[in-house]
Amino acid sequence: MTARTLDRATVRAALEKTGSGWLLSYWGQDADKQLDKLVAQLKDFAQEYRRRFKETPDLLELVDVNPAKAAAFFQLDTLMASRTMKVMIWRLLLGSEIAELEFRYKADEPASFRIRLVTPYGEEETYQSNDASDFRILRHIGITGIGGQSTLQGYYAFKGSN
Amino acid sequence: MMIGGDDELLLAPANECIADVILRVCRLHWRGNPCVFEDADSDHTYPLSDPWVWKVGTTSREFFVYRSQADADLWERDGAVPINVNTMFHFMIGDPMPADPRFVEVGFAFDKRTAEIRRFIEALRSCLLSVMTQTPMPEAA
Repeated sequence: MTARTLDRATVRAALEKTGSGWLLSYWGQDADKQLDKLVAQLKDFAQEYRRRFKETPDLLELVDVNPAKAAAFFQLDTLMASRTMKVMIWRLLLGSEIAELEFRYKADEPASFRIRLVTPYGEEETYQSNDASDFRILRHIGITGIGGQSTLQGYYAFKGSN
Repeated sequence: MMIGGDDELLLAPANECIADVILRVCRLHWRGNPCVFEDADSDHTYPLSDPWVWKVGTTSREFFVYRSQADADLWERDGAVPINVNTMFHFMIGDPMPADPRFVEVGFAFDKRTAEIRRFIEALRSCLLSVMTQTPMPEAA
């Protein structure tokens, strides 16, 4: 159960606190309309997450408790991601590891994005999308390089987009 | 018998979730082991499978990561002894550097510089660098 409700005011405050307040300026007079749309998308994400994992992701709590992680979630790339990939991102923020990732794109054809996670409990979860805009989230993923081998790790805020 | 410690100083981007990066590299280093986290201000350990670690624990500025709860118990009971060499890592994340506030220093303390520790440092440095490249560095462009 969330302590605070996702609404126009709380999401506006979350954007401002996490460094994505520039979106409000960009939206200008349409800000309220865009905020309402965003609130609906975030509620949709929370509902899907609850359906799948029987718990509610508390986005607003994350803003207070861990602003650096909240900044990654409230950035445009994440906000524009499909509902499925938002769920995947939340799982990454909560410690899941990336076991496998495939992104396939060909002009004039649906994109194909598939990512397999291993949770901190060792369970496997697979997320799939055909939304090419999900490509944006790839630049938030960290990389550990060791002995010539790279391991994809975590989900972080992209400062260059602000 | 006490073991002489060693340490390494690393650079990381400020205002980023550095502890998250560190925990993930620790988990890779001790893959297959049930690592535990302990904030320096607390004597309570949490398994890395606990979501609290990733949501709240990763905001810590000073913490310990143990290879397992058994190792944490051994450290608690006996301190630094030969049997638990390099089974506990100590991390300290500094404030933004006055000379360049885009960075923070990360102190990493361990027992003995072995080949495994050198690989761990290499992995940690590369992951911190990958997070750093998500931060604009105009003069590097």
